[in-house]
Amino acid sequence: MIDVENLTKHYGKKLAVNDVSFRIEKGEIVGFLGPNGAGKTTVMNILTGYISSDEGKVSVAGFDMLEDPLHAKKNIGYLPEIPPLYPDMTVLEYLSFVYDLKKCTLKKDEHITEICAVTSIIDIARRRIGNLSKGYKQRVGFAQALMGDPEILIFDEPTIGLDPREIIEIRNLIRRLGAYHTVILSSHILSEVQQVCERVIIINNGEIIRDEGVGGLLDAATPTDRYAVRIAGTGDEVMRMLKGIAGILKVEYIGTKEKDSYDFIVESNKDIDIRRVLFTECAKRGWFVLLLSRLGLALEDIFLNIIDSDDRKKLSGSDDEKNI
Amino acid sequence: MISIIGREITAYFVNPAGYVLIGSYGILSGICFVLSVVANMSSNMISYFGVWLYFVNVILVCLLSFRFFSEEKKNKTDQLLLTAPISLFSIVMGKFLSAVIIFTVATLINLFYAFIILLFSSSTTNDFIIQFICNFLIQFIGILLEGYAMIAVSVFISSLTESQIGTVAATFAVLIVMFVADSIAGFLPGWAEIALKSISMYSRYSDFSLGILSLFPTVFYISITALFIFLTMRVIEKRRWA
Repeated sequence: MIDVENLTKHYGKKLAVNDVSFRIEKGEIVGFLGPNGAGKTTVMNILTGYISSDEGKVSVAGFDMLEDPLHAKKNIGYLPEIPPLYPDMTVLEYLSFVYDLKKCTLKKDEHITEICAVTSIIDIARRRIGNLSKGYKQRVGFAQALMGDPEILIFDEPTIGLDPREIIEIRNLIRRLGAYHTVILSSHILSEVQQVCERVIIINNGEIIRDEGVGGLLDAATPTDRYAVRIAGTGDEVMRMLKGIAGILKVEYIGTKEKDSYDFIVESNKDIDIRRVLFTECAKRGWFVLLLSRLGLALEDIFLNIIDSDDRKKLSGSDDEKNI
Repeated sequence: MISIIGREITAYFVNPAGYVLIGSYGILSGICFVLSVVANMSSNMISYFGVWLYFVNVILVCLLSFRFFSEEKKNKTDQLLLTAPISLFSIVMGKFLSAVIIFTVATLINLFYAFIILLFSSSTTNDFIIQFICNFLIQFIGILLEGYAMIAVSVFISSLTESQIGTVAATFAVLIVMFVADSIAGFLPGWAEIALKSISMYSRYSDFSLGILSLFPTVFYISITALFIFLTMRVIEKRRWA
């Protein structure tokens, strides 16, 4: 569906995107992750034909973006970071304009009504865009991206600046759209990508540093199991008991949050389930297990680890060059 | 292209901008008409169409330039246009033609001034009426061609900056330079004199104001219009590669 080969883009002397290649298949929901200034928006803008790359090739639904931009663009619905809205128009006027602009062939009234229903903007369809809240403006932005029912939807930081309720609604909307479209979602909010996407492409300093499924990324980044444990017992003895259980690799005391109890972070071998043994050992001693919860490493931590290690690698690389 | 023209023209009239624009043109051209024709008790519109209306056109084009590419860039709506499946030519022509339509509508008030002269003129012979109408039509065509060239220049300037005020100021300055270019060219050395004379907008209008439909000025205005539309497309295209 989307083929990106060796994309390179400079802004003056600054290298914004460096030899980026990836392929996105039909029906995939892909998260495009990276810190601010990593090159996400530049890649999005090149994919949609807003700007051109210095080198490389973008092919959308089989059409080359440089050689056949009109057909390539027809297959893309794009919501940039700032929705491209005309504040002086009503929502219906705007969508009607976008319909004409994109030369849609579907029945106009039906198509606009359907899009308004999908994006939940029927109630505000006759209101002027300039008077709408940020959340509704964002929805109108989604509506314009959906115009013409394009196969590929590209959303650049779609939840930025929204309140928590609006963020949940927009994420649900993206998930619904993902059922019928190929979606690329650029974001630096990792939980968003974790919730919505199946695959993550991580970009840093203009280069792709990781490209794999969300599940795989989480598994690869968590070689051990981690638990939060709260036990009502005697502090030192609890610590000794935990360290004595087979499979437990590390015990860290993190304080007392409830009266007469002790909290620990326990790290254990992934192949051994320590929960039953831990419960039995506590029961034998007459202690109570008040809390036993598995801690997953959030995508946030994984992302920071990957970015940090990439930055360190680059830094040591440049140091080596200096030493040479 | 038609969708962009439709959106632009609607945008002029959903707020007072379009009405203020056409109203301002009416008031300013009316004042010029009174001072240059009525006050002299003349049926000759040469001076009105010559110097006076040039400045009124400059003001109208400056006001129109608020809505060109600077506003699109500022509001980031250029992303919608440039990622839509339409050609860059359609986008630029859509912007240009919408301004052309508003400009043409505003200048229609000149028909009313011609009608007043015909109504109150002491000479009512057929020859006079035919001569007057022919002169007026050529002067009017000249004004339109000159205005369209001014709009193309302004569209080009707006593609260079995000600032609407900057566009207006630069448009005003460039169009005034194009007006006085002929007068100041004589004070400059060889190449600068030739360069300035070649962009003189006003000197090309003199034939039209006398009621002479000449090929060279017509080609000049059409060339300026085409050149600046082409340059606008190049600027936008270049930015995509920058």
